[in-house]
Amino acid sequence: MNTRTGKSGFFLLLLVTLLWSISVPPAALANPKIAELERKIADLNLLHQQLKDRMLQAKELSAALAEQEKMLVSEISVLVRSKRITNWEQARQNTRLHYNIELLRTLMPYMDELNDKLTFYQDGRDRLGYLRQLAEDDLRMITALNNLKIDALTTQISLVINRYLPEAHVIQIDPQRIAVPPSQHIWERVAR
Amino acid sequence: MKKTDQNKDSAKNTPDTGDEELENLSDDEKAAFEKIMAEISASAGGSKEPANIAPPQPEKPESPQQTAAIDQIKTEAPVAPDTKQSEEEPKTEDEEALSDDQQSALDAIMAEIEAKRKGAKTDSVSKTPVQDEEEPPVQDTEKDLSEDQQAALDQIMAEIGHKRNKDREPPAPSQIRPQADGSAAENSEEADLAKIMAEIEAQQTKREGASAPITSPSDDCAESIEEAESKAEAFIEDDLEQDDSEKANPNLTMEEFDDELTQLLSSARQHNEAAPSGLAKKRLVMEKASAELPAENGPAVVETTAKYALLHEVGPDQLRHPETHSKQGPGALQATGGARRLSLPIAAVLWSIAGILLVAAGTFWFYQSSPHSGKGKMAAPSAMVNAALPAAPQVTAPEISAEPARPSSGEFSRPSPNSSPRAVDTPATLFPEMKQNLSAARSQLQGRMSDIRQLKSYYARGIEEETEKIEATLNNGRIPSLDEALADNKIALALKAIQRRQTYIAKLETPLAQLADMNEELLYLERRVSIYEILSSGIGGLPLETLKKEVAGTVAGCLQFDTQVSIDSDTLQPAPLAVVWEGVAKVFQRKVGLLAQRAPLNKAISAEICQGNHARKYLLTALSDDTARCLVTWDGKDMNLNALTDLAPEGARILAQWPGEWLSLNGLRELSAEAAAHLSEWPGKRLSLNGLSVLSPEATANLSQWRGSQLEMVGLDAIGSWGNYGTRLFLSEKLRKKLEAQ
Repeated sequence: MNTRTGKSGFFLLLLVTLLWSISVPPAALANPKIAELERKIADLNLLHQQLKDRMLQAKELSAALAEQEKMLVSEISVLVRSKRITNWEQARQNTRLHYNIELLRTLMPYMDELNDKLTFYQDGRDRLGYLRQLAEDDLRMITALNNLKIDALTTQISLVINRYLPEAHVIQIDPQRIAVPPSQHIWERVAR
Repeated sequence: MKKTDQNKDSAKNTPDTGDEELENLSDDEKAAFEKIMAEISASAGGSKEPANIAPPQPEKPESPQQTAAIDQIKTEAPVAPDTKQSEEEPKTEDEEALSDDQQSALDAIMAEIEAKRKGAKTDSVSKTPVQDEEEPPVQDTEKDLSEDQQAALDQIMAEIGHKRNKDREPPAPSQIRPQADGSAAENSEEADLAKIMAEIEAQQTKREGASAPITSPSDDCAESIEEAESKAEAFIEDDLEQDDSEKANPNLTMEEFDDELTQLLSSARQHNEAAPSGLAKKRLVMEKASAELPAENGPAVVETTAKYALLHEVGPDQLRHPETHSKQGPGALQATGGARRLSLPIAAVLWSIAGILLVAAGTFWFYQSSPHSGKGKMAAPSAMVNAALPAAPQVTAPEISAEPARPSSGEFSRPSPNSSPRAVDTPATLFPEMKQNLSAARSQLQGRMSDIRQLKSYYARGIEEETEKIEATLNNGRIPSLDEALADNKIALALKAIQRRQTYIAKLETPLAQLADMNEELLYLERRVSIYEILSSGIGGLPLETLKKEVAGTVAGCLQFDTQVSIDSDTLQPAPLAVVWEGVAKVFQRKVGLLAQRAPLNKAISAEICQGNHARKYLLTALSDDTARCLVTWDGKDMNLNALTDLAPEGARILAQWPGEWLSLNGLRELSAEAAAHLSEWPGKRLSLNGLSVLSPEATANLSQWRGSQLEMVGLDAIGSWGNYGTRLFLSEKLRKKLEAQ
């Protein structure tokens, strides 16, 4: 019985070893730098795609907010004309105008932030693409010469990835840190 | 040894020489003879010894001296088989088996002795004198035995000795082994002690097994003690026999045996703290057994055996009753074997689990580290694998901003999805719920506001009616003073009615304004919720909880106010009758003044119209019946009478006969129900009443009967139930939304 158990355990270990040997590519086993670079490239690709997704998301958000802004501004214009409102003091006396300006105070900072984010994401995608190209170059070099210092590149990749990683899944805008402009500023911006 | 055996054999080989020969032997020879006889009797052993020895006796009647000598030899010889048989009656099977062997050996010996005896007889007949003269009998017998015979005799004696030892200590290897070394006696002593303990334990176990349901432990203890005592006594006797047998051991002299025994006892004393002497030691063992028996369980036995660890090296009874030794010995081995049988499937299962875990760990490692496990040839991202799916943009930002980016080498930090407790499940439920609540509240408030406006309109119309009543009472258009008016009962009652309605209208203004503000706030919140809904789809950390609380609080406050709307709480005092009369008088004066001012112009325009000149018809401020009749004769398509501020029912009835398409009466501020009923009969297509701000429900109902294509009333703030859906109704956006909400 002991012998049978020992045999089964032995075959199990053999199976595990076989699976492990099949799953691990020989190149990765041969040169860990290749594996590291490939991993970095995969990270860069994924983050690149994620930033693209965030850009699309930011654009959609910005478009929806712009539609709201347009509706509010047009209503303000009608009210201003119909009520013959010419200055801020008159405007703040009108409830609808007051509320619409408050809503614009909410909308406009986010739209500005989203525009900044779009620029940030595009810049990140450019950087990630550049690093991906460098990594692919080094990968080819390592494959050919079997030795190349990649520490500097991997460190740089890690830094860039860590910089844009928080934006990978969500647009990082902190509502608490958004500076809400004064109502009069919004009024002046709309009245123009 | 060999010499002794030869002496024994020589003594046995000369039975037929009788007592004479025995008497002729020297002391040494006699001693040798007795030793031989003792050996023979010992080898015969057991109860069958007399029977085996008996057959030669009739042939050789023993003399009393010979008998005494044989008895002495018997007493000196080991009597263990006899005592064993008497003491260990349960072991008859073993003894019978041994007796058969012994019997066969003895038969062989006796046959050989018999053969020698016959040979000796013949020799004695022919050569006895010579022999007697030349050598002593013993020497003769030694000489008579050939070397083969001597070897055969040695072999037989060795076999007898071996069987005897085997008979005494059957399964004890240490005792069966030739005790050539100095520890042989010690082993024998240990075997004896082990035998005692094994018997005690066997008895204990047997009792436990047989009388498990015994209810009186004291009786059982007594029996156990008695049995232990009897066993101990048996052991003492057995030990004495063993001592005797040890004395007969041909390998040891008596001195050597004593030395060994002393050494064994001293060793046993050291181990067991027992008395050095055999009896004391057995007593101590018996006391120990008696003391431990009441425990009647394993631990006591184990403790005892643990103290006498050496005892377990030999355990004949342990071999016979292995189940009584659960901890050590064969019983323990058997128990261990059972546990091993149980443990084998468990071990197999554990091996399988370990293998599965190893496979899982290897697979996990593979997907974590293998660069070829991702898409195509590229490696999977190191830590983004779990986050590779498109992110549900519900992750909140504030915590991320608090901890902007946690750079980690090789591991990507992901924002905690629980950073905003309600953000995860709110987008699906929170925003629609808030918007629905806000919309419902707004609708409820708007309904209340409409009701209030209808009330105001009703009271305003009532004031007009009362004013007309007063006007109708006036004679010659002269406006009386207050006293004169109050002197007239009708005018006085009309004034009080106007006063009361004006008060109601004034009181309704406050809740209406409050409701309007609330409605605006709800609309603001509704729009804000929509904006947050948009933002929350991509930006986290929004103060949704605050917004939700604000919405809930506002809605609750609005609905509470709506249910508590009342004019009773308003302490507005009614205007004095003098003030009311003053207002009515002003209305009369204005009408009279307008009529006086406009009368010349209207007369001129009316004359022109009736003459067929309709160029200045839009300047008419009042429409008389005659002028109206002249207007309906105009064959134009559009009639613009926007300067008219009042339209009497009769004038409306006449205008309704005009066959044109577009009638514009945008100067009208009010429209009576009767005038509306007449206008509804106009056959034109477009009717413009954009100057109306209020339309009574009755007027609305009458006007809705009009079958034209387009009706414009964009100045209306409220409207009643509209029943004609075939006419395109132009209303203000505000009123249109209100109607849509309804």
